[in-house]
Amino acid sequence: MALYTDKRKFRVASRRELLKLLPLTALGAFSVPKFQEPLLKKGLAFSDWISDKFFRSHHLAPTFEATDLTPLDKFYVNTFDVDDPEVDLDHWSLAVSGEVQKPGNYNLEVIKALPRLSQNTRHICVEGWDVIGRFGGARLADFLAMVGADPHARFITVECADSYYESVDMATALHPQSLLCYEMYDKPLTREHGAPLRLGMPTKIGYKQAKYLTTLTVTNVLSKVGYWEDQGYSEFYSI
Amino acid sequence: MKTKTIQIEDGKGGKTTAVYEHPYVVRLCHWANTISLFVLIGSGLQIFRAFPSFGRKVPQTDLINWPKSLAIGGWLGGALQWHLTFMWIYLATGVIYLGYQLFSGNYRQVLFTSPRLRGRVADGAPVFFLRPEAATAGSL
Repeated sequence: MALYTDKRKFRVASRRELLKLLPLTALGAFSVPKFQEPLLKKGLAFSDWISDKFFRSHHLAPTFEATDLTPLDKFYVNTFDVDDPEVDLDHWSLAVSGEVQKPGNYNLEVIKALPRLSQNTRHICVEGWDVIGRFGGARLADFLAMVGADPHARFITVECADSYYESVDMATALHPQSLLCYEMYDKPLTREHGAPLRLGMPTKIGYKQAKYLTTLTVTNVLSKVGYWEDQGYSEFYSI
Repeated sequence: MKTKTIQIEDGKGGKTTAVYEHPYVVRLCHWANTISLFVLIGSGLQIFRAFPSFGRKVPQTDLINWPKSLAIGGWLGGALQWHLTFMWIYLATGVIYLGYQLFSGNYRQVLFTSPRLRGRVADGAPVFFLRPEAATAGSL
């Protein structure tokens, strides 16, 4: 179909049209393998940055009645490697280091001596399923205060007995619902749910709720973010 | 309202004036949205694919296991990157589009404004209420 009768005019006009398409060809950069990954990483980082800005330190995640709880035997156990990394529960302690006044090893009795908080909150997995569970433990904020953590440090990182690792921004760590969780359904954590100690943060996605904790570090620099984050998942992922 | 006109053949040997009814920004946003929605749907399907069936443990099953060839991103993490990135591009396109419509006054071309609606309601009513005899007698 010859819309343009004059060939010269056609050339000028089509060149201008092509130039006008430049913003669209910029989107085409996403199809170039070299640019694709950095661009997508930037997009995800931008999303995380916005989430961070919208995070409200004292806004509570919804809590639920006991009748809404998912039965413990229906609480799906999701691990990246083994369900039971065979932690020696009798000789376990949490090694605390980094920007803290009192680094050292803290055993479970010390953590249990902190005020206990039990809450029925929703546990949401990035895969698209969710359960409502009862989580009990000490507030992470109380523990950080006890060890004299610098509240202006940016992150806490944890390592796990199954070589999983995670990191959490300080605002989330200090959130009043963020727990060092040693109980589920009012009973001590079972091995597959992360005995003796796991994270329980209802403002974060499931893969951030690290189990079988062995170390906790307060830091300003992250050399690695988390097991899944380092493969491309969101670093902040608040819910 | 800025519209661009070009001369085209009218098919009878003569020429006639054709009008680009939609301004450049509107057309650009349209095609940007086409790309964004393609990516959002494709990566969305990949995100659906991550939903597991746990059988006995959690009695939920996949509704549809989308073919991998329709999905974008390769795995859940990759699909989320595509989805979240193009979510922002889609949103930005929307902001540009609405901003342009508002500040250029072009929205008068898109939205019904009261001067254009005046008298038209009575014309359209018979059609709307499915009274064909009235419609054929009317001005439509």
